[in-house]
Amino acid sequence: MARFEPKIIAFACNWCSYAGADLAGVSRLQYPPNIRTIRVMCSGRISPGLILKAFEEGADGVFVSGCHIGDCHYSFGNRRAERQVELTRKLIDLLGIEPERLHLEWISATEGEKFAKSVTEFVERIRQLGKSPIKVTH
Amino acid sequence: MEKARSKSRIKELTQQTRAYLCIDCSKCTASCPIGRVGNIYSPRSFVQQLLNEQAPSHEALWRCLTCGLCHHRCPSDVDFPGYIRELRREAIKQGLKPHPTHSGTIQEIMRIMTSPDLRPNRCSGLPDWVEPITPDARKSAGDIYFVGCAPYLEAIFEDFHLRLLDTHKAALELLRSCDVRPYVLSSERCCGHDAFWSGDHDLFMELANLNVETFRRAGVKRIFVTCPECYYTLAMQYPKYVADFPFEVINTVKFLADNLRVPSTTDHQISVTYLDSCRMGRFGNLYEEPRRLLSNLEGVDLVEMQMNRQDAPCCGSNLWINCDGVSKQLQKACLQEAARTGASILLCPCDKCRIHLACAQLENGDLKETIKTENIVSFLYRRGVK
Ligand code: SF4
Ligand code: SF4
Ligand code: FES
Repeated sequence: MARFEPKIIAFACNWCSYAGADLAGVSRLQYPPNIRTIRVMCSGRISPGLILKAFEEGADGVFVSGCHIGDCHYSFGNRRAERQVELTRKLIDLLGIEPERLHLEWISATEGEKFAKSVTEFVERIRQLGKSPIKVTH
Repeated sequence: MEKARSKSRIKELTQQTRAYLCIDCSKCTASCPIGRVGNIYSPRSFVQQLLNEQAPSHEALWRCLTCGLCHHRCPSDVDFPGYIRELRREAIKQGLKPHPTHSGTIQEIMRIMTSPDLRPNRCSGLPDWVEPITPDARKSAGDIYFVGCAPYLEAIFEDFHLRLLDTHKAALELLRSCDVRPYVLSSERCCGHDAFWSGDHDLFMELANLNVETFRRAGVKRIFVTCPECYYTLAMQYPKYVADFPFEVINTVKFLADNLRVPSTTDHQISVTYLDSCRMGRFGNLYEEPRRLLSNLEGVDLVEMQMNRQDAPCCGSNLWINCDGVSKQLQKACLQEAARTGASILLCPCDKCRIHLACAQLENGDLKETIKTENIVSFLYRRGVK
């Protein structure tokens, strides 16, 4: 049987993490092609609704990334992201979905390597967990 | 949207809602909470438009709280909320959607719950003696307790400190003292109330069928429900829409009113007031049961709000859509009216009302001191009733 290829949605903030992902690209670092990156202005833009929507539409894992604490370009956006991700973990746990399917990582614009590494690890972890049980019939 | 709607459908709706009996008296518009505090909002003119084969605007369509006050007061029994629901069904079919609150979190949860293979966990935070039934277990459970979305709402509104799970802990303990030991279906889905009233009929049916299938497999006979929305949906809508519904749906408050015998262990004097939440009162027709429970309590003095029973005020929000300044004004009015009774606690049968009221209290410092809210079931339990 073919190896399970998880579908992963990665949210990355415009000012740090997306630039970090860019750097990983221009530095020709290898990371698995399972992620679909969505750029948001700030990780504080992420809400449980948005993360759940990604799951609802078939994501097997969701990766949220933002600037390091203290570096958010809107001061406290990443603090907010932290709380929103924590809440969403609780919600997906109640729904019967492993909370590990949702990951938060702080990645700066200079950390191309960290981006590649954490994405690679995350994809592997989701591969182990297997397909998400969410299959919306509606 | 207007164009796409077929004229024959409008005719059908006129029949179904009895709109043709409208005498243009405007009682509905005078009663409507939205019309009273917000911009001009007139169920009367929408009914008149319907008679002229026109539908209200998209905005107006989602604005109605489906609180049912207009229907209750209408001398011709025009079912305005029913009309709104039907129009919403049409709108949803055409891909139109309401504006969700909380970034659509709650709508997403409802949709995710339609996944057949999901193994949700509805038992967290309930008393230890409550035995969960997993989806694969075949059992003849007999009695179950339907929790509803409290665990999710408790997580989302943790900062409100409402202790929403206490309601269900209390309900289960009180049922136990009436010799009922219900199971909980761990894979219980959303009842579909909000999908139903938002006009997303397919989603509602999806959830209803999944729930009923689980009831069947678990050998359920009686379903105890505390949340008025879940109760209304299970007791009054499931039998209409699900092909075979042989279950008895029992409202916990009503059951307790009929069966609790032992008086409270505390007679500490307190005065309370009671909110007839719309799904409990106007839609569930349960007005006297909670009052009977309270009147049996030693030391509890029930002071009625000026507007009570069928005329009860609205908590300002419904279906997790369209929350705005109008909602806040309605919440403020409701809290102030409750505070005017001089009671120290506003007892609600519906914890969603409590969430909406708490939100207004959190936003507006002056309202914080008005009155405390508590679910009537947790109040009973706290008073040591057995
Ligand atoms: S159901 Fe309530 S909110 Fe809707 S039109 Fe009637 S009175 Fe107004
Ligand atoms: S209260 Fe009834 S009869 Fe009067 S205007 Fe409204 S819909 Fe028509
Ligand atoms: S801008 Fe990067 S987290 Fe706010």
